[in-house]
Amino acid sequence: MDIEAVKLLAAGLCMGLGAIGPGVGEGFVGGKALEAIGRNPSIANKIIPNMVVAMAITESTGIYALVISLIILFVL
Amino acid sequence: MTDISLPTRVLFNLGPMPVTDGQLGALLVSLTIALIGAMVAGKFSLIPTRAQLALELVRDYIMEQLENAFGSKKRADAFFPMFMTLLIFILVSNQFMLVPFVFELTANGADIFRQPTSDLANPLALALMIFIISHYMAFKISPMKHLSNFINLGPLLKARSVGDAFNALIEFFIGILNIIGEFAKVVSLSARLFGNIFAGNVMVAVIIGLSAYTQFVVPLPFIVLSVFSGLVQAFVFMLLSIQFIALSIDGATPEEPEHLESKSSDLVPQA
Repeated sequence: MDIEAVKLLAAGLCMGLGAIGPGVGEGFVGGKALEAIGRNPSIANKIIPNMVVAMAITESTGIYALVISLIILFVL
Repeated sequence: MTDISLPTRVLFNLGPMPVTDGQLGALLVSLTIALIGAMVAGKFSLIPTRAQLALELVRDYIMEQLENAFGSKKRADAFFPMFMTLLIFILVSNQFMLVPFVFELTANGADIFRQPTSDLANPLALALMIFIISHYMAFKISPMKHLSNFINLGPLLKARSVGDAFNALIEFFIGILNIIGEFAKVVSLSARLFGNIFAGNVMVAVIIGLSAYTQFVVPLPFIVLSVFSGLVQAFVFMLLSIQFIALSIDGATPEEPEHLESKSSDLVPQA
């Protein structure tokens, strides 16, 4: 295979596989937060900021995959 | 902002030091903050205006996080200015792409300014600063205790039986893993901020470049999304660096049961 083709394939695979974990994780965080709010709606204001921060941290593995695929595409 | 480039462009050399567009962007952000600070200073009053109230809310939130993490009011007071500076700098530079025309300025075909956080050098510098401060603080409290978190020879020397020696060996290798973990912290802290901001810019650039019809209204939701993620990432960077410094200090302080109880080492803050 051509090296350009391998690069494109690698970047696509990296992003696609790397997005699985954060997707599952963020869904889990959001679902659990909604569960907690459903159980006790009066603490929604306390849960939402925590949920957003936890989501941002969960998202970071996906962001690492993105950084790697950007490096493959634009730097290598 | 239509062309995507990961490495920065060197604009000119200042002696042996190359000056890049990312550095000039950081300088511009710092000057802007200093200017606004100088204009606002002295205007704070006992009866707060709306803007002052918002700033005080942020201040209270950070102080609460610091007191939870460090467990002492004195240390929280000492650390507060650094974290507030960190937050303001990252917040302003994340939202700086909303300022019109600044990123359109060119000299010899290259952009003069670049959003500071979309250049890996700047988040990396901030993360390294956090890394150095956390280890300096821990060394100042107790050098031997701090080193024993990483090179743990104590239990190995004290071992009396084969089982003891085996456990001590495991602890020794966990210490070596901690060394790698410390560097992973720097990488993850900087790559998280850089990746989010750069991804936002790339997303908007891709949407604009799709076709002639998607240039005007269609990118708006994506711009809003990247503004929101910039806001969240600024807070996340600050909260995680508070946790890193607090963990490092925690690992170096000799054990005091009642002192440890008042501390929360949760990664997720109690907002």
